[in-house]
Amino acid sequence: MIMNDNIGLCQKTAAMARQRMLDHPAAASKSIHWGSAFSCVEILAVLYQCILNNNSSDDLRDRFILSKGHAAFSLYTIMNLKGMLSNQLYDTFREDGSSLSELSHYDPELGIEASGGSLGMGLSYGAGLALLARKTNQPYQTYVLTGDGELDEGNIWEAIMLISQLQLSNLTLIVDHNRLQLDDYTDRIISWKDIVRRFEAFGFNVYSADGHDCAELLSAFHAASLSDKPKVIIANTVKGKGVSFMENECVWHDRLLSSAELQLARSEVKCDA
Amino acid sequence: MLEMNSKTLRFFSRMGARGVLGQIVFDYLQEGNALYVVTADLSRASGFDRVKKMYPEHLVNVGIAEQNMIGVSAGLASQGTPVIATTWATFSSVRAADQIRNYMGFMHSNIKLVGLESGLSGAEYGYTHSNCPDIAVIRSIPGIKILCPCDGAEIYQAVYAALKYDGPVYIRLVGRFNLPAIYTDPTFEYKIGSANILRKGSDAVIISAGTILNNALQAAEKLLEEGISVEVIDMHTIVPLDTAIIDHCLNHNLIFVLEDHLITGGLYSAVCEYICALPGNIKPRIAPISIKNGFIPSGTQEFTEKLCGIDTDTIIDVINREVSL
Repeated sequence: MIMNDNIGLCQKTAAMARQRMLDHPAAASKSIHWGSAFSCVEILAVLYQCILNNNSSDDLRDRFILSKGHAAFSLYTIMNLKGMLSNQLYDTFREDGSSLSELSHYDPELGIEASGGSLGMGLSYGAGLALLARKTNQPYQTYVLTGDGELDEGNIWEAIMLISQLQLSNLTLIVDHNRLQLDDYTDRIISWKDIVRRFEAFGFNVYSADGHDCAELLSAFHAASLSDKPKVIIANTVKGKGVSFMENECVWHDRLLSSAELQLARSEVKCDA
Repeated sequence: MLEMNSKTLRFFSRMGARGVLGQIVFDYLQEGNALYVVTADLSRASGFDRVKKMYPEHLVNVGIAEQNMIGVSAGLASQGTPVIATTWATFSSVRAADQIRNYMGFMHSNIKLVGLESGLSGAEYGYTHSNCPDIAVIRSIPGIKILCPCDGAEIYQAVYAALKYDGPVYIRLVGRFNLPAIYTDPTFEYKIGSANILRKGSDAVIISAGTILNNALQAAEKLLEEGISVEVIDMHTIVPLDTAIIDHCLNHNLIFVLEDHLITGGLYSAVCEYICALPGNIKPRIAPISIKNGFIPSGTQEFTEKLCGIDTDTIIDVINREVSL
């Protein structure tokens, strides 16, 4: 059952993550994928605070794959808040030679399961992990987070067809459905208006949630966990969520903040923590 | 595992590339080793009929989806169990190159990727299935070993060695059935990264790999009748290259590199990259006997080898010309 204090913890973690990202030195000096990072903050907060059994680094741990690797800054921040990534390392994000690059890559010591920079690949790896768990009777669950623009990639649908064929119910796909991609709204490029029907047609159980409402996300994860079919959570999100001038603006896919914009953004995400 | 003797060598020769691949994978599983076998709809073409029948739980057919095959294989290999993954060579290299770069290159997944019917053995199907730049593509991704076995016995040894090695390997196979036996002595040694001298000679040396070595040996035999003594080296591992044996080749005045691969990025490139970077100015001439045509017309292996200038007669002509210069 979903506890109210869990909801509060996730919501607070998400709020702190946005603040921490904008307080990071890189926020003032680097072009960052703000839109994508901010649209999945709550999803990552829920995963890391309540869903993933990631306390152990051994084979029993749940696997999480950030396939939309351009949201790496969010991932590092949530991991930092969770105590899985030191402040010292976190501060090096985007510095020359840092292991924390703009797009996340495989780093088993940090607990980053796969590289996410090249879009469309994470779900195949997730399918392999889920299939391995089934073949070897291992209890771990696999979670893969993709963007909606990322669904344009053919490799994604190769994986979806196999997951459906093999009925891999120990894998949960989460789509960060923020309706924007680099160039424009997804509807104007490859439309996902019928995203639910498309997944249903491939044999998936589809769970929809407001991707910024941790209670809804937790409910969706809970419902999905009871399903013995392939499953996807469509998290309806806002790209750039939390900073008014970034929301639903594709220019903030990857952009450097001016000092005035940074000041305004910081004031908008300020929370008491 | 099958014992190497003259009978098994004849058996391997008769079975060809797919038969030997199926045999070694079956034998490996029968020994009780952990292994997953993944294919993009080519279990029959990979010789996996018996694997499918006897070890169905070890076999995964992902459908005609080569990019997915690499990611799924990486997931299956994530706890160290080797995975053998098969498709036609074009798709095991060019098509899935990005997935290979990520999962086999950067993540160093324990995948043994097999490119079937590489070189010109699929030339009757047309350019999509022949002369793909598989060595060039895989060689440009750091960390992946590349094995090019030349006959049935060497395929058996190479796949076994690859399965025992912990890390990513690309295995390039050429031909289907009835591979001419290059190794007739069953006690021959196979070690990844250690090339074998197949024939000694003093006037020139041919460095080659894969089934095309048969043309090199035939050319060397005929050239000897004309008084030209040619050494032949089986560089069965392209990555890592056996540089000690190349150093030994520097004693020759002429080095020929014979390959059933585009001149760009294959064995000739690899040998040149090594020799040209050596200090000093004492280099022998390094001549390519490679494929210059990017897209070749369809035809039998015999026809296309001649067209591309890598058949036995052309090799003889090239060496005769170069030796007399």
